[in-house]
Amino acid sequence: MRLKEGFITHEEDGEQIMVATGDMDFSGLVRSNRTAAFIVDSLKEETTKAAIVEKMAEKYDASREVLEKDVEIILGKLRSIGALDE
Amino acid sequence: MTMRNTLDEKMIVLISCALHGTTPEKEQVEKLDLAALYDLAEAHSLTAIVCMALEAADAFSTADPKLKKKWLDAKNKAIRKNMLLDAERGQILKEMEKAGIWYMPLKGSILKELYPRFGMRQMADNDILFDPAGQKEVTHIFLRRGYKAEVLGRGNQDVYMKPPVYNFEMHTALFGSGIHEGWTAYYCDVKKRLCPDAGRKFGYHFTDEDFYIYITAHAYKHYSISGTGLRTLLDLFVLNWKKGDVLDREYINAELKKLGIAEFEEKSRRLAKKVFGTAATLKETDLTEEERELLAYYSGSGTYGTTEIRVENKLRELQPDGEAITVRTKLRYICLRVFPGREQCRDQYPFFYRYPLLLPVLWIYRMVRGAVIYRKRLGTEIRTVKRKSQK
Repeated sequence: MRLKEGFITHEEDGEQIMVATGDMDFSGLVRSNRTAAFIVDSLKEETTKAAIVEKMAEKYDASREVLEKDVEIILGKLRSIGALDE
Repeated sequence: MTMRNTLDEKMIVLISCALHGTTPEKEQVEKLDLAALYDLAEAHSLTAIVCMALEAADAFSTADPKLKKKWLDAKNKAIRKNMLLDAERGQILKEMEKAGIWYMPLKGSILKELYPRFGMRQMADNDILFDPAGQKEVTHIFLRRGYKAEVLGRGNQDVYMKPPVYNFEMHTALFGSGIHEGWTAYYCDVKKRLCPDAGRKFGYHFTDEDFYIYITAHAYKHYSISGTGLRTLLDLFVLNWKKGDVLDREYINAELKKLGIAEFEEKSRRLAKKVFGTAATLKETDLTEEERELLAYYSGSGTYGTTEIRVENKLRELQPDGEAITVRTKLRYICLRVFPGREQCRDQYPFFYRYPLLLPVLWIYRMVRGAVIYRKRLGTEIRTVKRKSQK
């Protein structure tokens, strides 16, 4: 899976903002904290849920269960706005 | 004319707070009419920066939820639009690189980078100067990308638009003919003034000094025709705030004198510093009478100026003696508006410039169009001219 090409991000003050270009249906704005932004950034190239969890485990001091849950939540949100190519 | 205790003044304080990263004091946001403030901020394309100050002051905690949403939507739309325009500009410039057409982004896309936070400086469109020899290819680029050409081959800029927010003004020259005497000549060989972008073959930029001169000239163009709003004054402040220490003032002053706008720049720069240089509320004694009038002019103009100011400025241009506008001046004004001459058509109606014998066709077309499409604007214009006659 990966982030659809029509979605672009901007980082400022520890916050990531994501919007969709005109070719996409989504016309809102997604604000992500550092953890969510890490997941979004991982999706800028082809990856899997397991690979994202693995990358997060290297960076964050949290249990795999918690990380898997967090990744699933963010992926669910991205799916709901049509931001994922799967 | 005074600015004291007006909504304009309160908005200016909020803008300054957002700019300097200070939280507005409670009394500065208490009892604020957020609906009226929204209209004012919108008229000046300043909703995003004002919203940021209001959020910092927790001003929305007791606000009508609909009104709060309106403010937040405006801020988010500004952020989204800036992101989309940036991304799209990047793609368009890539295509221009491929096509070998030199280019230079102008105005807002450069200025916005100087503001402390992304989205603070709203953009309505994207302006790019480019090689006139590549005009046809540029049109192909935009049409291929799904744009509609709104203005093509008229004057010094082509306008391309595409939903939801894309609006590009592609300039073949920085200023059209007939704007201010000497400006077209000053910028006729503009490429000589440009510096190549690092890592790009066809991308260019102004030096900081030449960018400052251009921004000032552009501001004055609007200021002297229909007026220009507080965002222009704010841009001027931010430019001086962020670049002032490194600018070669001697060079800038000499060039501004050549363009006849050195006095305008000095007055506006001083005013901008007094108004936006601190987050404190302006005191009665902070501004001179002349500065208060200048500020009132900026405040009363809105981002794109007003028909009233345009009419007043044109009447004053036709009769520069400072006396009350005479009937003769008004008649001259009306004649120029109804029966534009060949020179006036150079940019706006190049076909009629080439075939002046057909000018009567244009006059009839303009009369019909004015009565049918621009009825309201025409009404304002006629009322303004009439009011002048009553003075």
